[in-house]
Amino acid sequence: MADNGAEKEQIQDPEIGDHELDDSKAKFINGGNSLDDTRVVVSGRASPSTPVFTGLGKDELKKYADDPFWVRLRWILFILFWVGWLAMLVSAIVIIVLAPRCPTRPDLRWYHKDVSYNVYSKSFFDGDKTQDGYGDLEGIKQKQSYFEQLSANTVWLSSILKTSPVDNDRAVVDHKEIDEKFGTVDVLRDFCKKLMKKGKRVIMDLVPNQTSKNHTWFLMSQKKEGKYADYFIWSDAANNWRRKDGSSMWVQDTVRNQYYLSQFDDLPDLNLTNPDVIEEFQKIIQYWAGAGISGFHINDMEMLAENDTLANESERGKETMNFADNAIVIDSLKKIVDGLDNKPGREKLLFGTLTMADIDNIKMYKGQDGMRGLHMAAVMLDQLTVGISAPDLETKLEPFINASSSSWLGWRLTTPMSGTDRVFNRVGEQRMIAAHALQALLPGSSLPYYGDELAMESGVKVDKKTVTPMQWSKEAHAGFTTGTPWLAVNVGYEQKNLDSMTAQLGDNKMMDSFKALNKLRSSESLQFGKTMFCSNGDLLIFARNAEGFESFVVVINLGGATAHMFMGDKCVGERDSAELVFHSHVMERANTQLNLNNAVSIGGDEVLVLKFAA
Amino acid sequence: MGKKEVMIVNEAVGGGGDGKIQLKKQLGLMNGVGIIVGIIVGSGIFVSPKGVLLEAGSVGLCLTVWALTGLICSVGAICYAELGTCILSSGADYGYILQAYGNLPAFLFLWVCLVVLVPTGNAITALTFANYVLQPVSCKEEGPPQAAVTLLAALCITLLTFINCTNVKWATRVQDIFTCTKIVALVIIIITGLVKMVMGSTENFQNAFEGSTKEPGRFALAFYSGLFSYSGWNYLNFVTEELKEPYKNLPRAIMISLPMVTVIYLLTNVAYFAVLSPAEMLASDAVAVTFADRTLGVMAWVMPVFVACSTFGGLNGAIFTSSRLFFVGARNGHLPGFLATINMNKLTPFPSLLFGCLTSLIMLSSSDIYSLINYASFVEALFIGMSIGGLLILRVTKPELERPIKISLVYPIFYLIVCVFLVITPLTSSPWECLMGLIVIASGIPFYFLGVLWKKKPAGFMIMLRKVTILSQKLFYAAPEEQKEE
Repeated sequence: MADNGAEKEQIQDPEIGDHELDDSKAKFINGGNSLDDTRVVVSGRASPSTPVFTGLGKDELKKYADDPFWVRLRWILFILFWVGWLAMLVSAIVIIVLAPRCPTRPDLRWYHKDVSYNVYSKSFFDGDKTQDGYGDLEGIKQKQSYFEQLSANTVWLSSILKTSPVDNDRAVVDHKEIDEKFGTVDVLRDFCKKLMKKGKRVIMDLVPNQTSKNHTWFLMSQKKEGKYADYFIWSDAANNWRRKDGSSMWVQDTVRNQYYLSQFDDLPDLNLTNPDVIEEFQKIIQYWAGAGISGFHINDMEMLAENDTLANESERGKETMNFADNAIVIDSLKKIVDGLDNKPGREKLLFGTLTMADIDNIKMYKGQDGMRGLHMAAVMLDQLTVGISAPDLETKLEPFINASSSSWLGWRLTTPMSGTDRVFNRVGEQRMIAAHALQALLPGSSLPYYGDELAMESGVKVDKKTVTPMQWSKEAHAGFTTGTPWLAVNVGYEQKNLDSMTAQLGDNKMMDSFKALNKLRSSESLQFGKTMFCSNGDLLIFARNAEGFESFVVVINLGGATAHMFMGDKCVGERDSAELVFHSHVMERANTQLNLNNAVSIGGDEVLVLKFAA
Repeated sequence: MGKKEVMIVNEAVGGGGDGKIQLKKQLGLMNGVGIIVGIIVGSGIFVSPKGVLLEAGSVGLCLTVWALTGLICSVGAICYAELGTCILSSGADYGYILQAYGNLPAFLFLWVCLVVLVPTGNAITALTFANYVLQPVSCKEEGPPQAAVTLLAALCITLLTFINCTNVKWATRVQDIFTCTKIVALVIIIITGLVKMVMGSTENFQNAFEGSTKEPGRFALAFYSGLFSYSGWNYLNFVTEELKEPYKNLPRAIMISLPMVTVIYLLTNVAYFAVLSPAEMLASDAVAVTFADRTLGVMAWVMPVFVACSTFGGLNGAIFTSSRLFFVGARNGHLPGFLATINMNKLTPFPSLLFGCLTSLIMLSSSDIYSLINYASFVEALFIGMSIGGLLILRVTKPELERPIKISLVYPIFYLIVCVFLVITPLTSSPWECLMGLIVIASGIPFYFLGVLWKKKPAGFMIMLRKVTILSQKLFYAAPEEQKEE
């Protein structure tokens, strides 16, 4: 710190007595070649325009350069600085080393997290100027804020393709064209893009099992033109394959003078093991993905492939439903979807619904033996019925929970095409919230069907479809259209409609709980946590827990009377307090602390969700 | 303490090589560019370029705003080139406001820098640095442990202060190195983005202006966000005294840096949009890191490292420049004299650096510094406006001043209009923050009267002050600056 090679020169210290050091030691070194002493002027004194500096000048100060006291002090401070610095560094490292390990998070895609709201397009909302009584894309666009209220990030459009006859959703006449009453591809493209920018998505139904009799493929096939000859399944003789209603699956064609296979309504069944047909669907899927569609639901997925030996079946459906070759078709379709633009955030979804959901089927559709499988197997949550008891329901649900450890499920309460009733008709008003809770909180994605959040009834069925118009308000035709609806609105819509169920002073239990349950799904444990059942008496109880995150216990009272839950219960363990995050009947009780030392009472049909700290 | 108004006039450029106790002229053109680019391109472009996008509403408008704000800042910088070469003292705005408006406004500028702008700026930059360094060991959602972040931020501030105390050359080298790393990081982003675009990833640029905001208020906020990302363009003026051949190098550094930053910002945003959709960008807490995760695969870890380096360099620049401001303020008698002393061995403004370090550490330990940043930008805009207004005033009141660069009055007038907009927009959108900002400014007034104007302070106080001064001098071996040669 000293100026080296300088000559000694004593300078009078004006600050004698300022410190206890002997000043004689403070003799100072100055001058030398490095410093040009003669030109040194201390600024404060030299220029009258500069404020006076009251401290020491340069020359006075130089004495202290080598002064042992100050040198030592400087060294001590220097060392202290680094000691302190290193101490801080060490403690920072210690804090990091001691910090708890990060909980693992699986790499979830949008379809694992999103609630995908399924609309039957013709029945959702008539929003265009013509008011033709058919729901349309314009109407869906206008109801975007409604999807947001429901925390539904994905809209699932059912039945938008151009069909002939018009009202038969299975009779697709052009897979790249949408029904003109619904809108145009350009409008759809624009809609998808706008949603995508907000991080939301549109998915749609793919109808690969059969076509309309007016589809050009069939017309060419009838004439045995080139590759089209084998687009459908033709046979000279009918075998014993029967449809659900008992009628034969074979339809005689007078043009080709052969029978063609038809599983629904005399519609010709596509030969999906034919690579040419798969190539057609490659173009179709690429076309819709290009228009901004993020996912495809395979309609009638269980019926895609049949035994190509056309052997008689010993039992109805054995050779035609969930037939082993279906895995090959799924493999080809999945390969197409995997070949699409799957950049992060733009991953495409391929999924289908199992009406006969058993574990073997789930395994098949999720891909085994090196075959590509679906991203998600949607299953009907039809285990919950009016009278089922908690232990019975648990027994029925448990296999799915175990299966889902290796495959991702999606839960549907109502499907339009299966011919079954809406969930309301199956479980009754009392158990609607329980049904919604299971849909939202069981492991897997939630795929609600429009209107179920209002507990809509099946109403009039068209070709066994549960597709009556959405009940928006108490106005004429439930506010669905100002024209004449294509299908009569359910009776009783004046009481049961969105307006009345969200009115300020009304009974909003149904809608409020539906929204609240969907919101809960943002928690890690409910997205990917393990599931454990521990039902007790009338109470269906299950826990969802992801290591390192807040965990949840869902309690559903399936009995009519009040039941109690106690600490020490398998799902609760020894934890003595929880936060009540959801109460189906008394919403005000949500977000309060529960003391589990006292028994928790759960009224009949009530649903409670308890949250425990990580 | 200050007695007369200090007249800082142009001085012939003296060589820096003699042995005088003063801050030496050690900064070349490249160092100058390094300081400007290093400070402007802090962490903002890596972390949150989403402010502009959020308000603009469309990709096209967002990019337009980035380009326009770069242009506006260039205009401001041109004005500062005249100011900087005309008034050759370090301290930038402080010097200009002093010249044009007198002591009180200059003191208030110094005051605001001292109590809010410098310490919060430094603390937040250091915290950002710490967060990124700890990125690899932190959990995705929860972030790294807070105590470790604060400690690391303090380590970073003290280490950089140490380097700045020890050697100006080291400090500038740190600046150069870290400015380079951040340019490298941005070039990586830009090239990756361009490659993706060539490969056909252009969907975000189709109908680029669709969804553009039509509300003037939100448009203004988009602009405001953009301008904020360019803030720091005036920082080279804080160190003009140490610039070699300032008449040449100051304007050149400005003219090289700002177009460079503008182009880099634009291209970086284009690259982001080539990979991320607007929704994904808005959802990301650290856009560059998300970008890297998407594109760089196993090399994605380099991005947090680069961001950390960038903030480190930005902090170094801020520490370097702000110490000069306090130094000049003390030299003019606006701050206690010992802050205007220079270590005789190292020739660095030791006490002023330590003082800045101390205030930053105090700010670091306070819990809600992020709320302070809300009104910092308003205050900054106010003072930059004053400086540029000062340019016009000085043209009238001191026409005799030598102006090596004399710009057309179109520039300052244009920029003043922008400043008026910059000051009025937040006044209407967040009046509470602005009021707080004004209160902070006003709180300096009593200190001015007590500390600067009040000449006949009690003898005891004067003696104590002198003792403190001398103690600090001995401890830091720091003498006041010597006058430069006439």
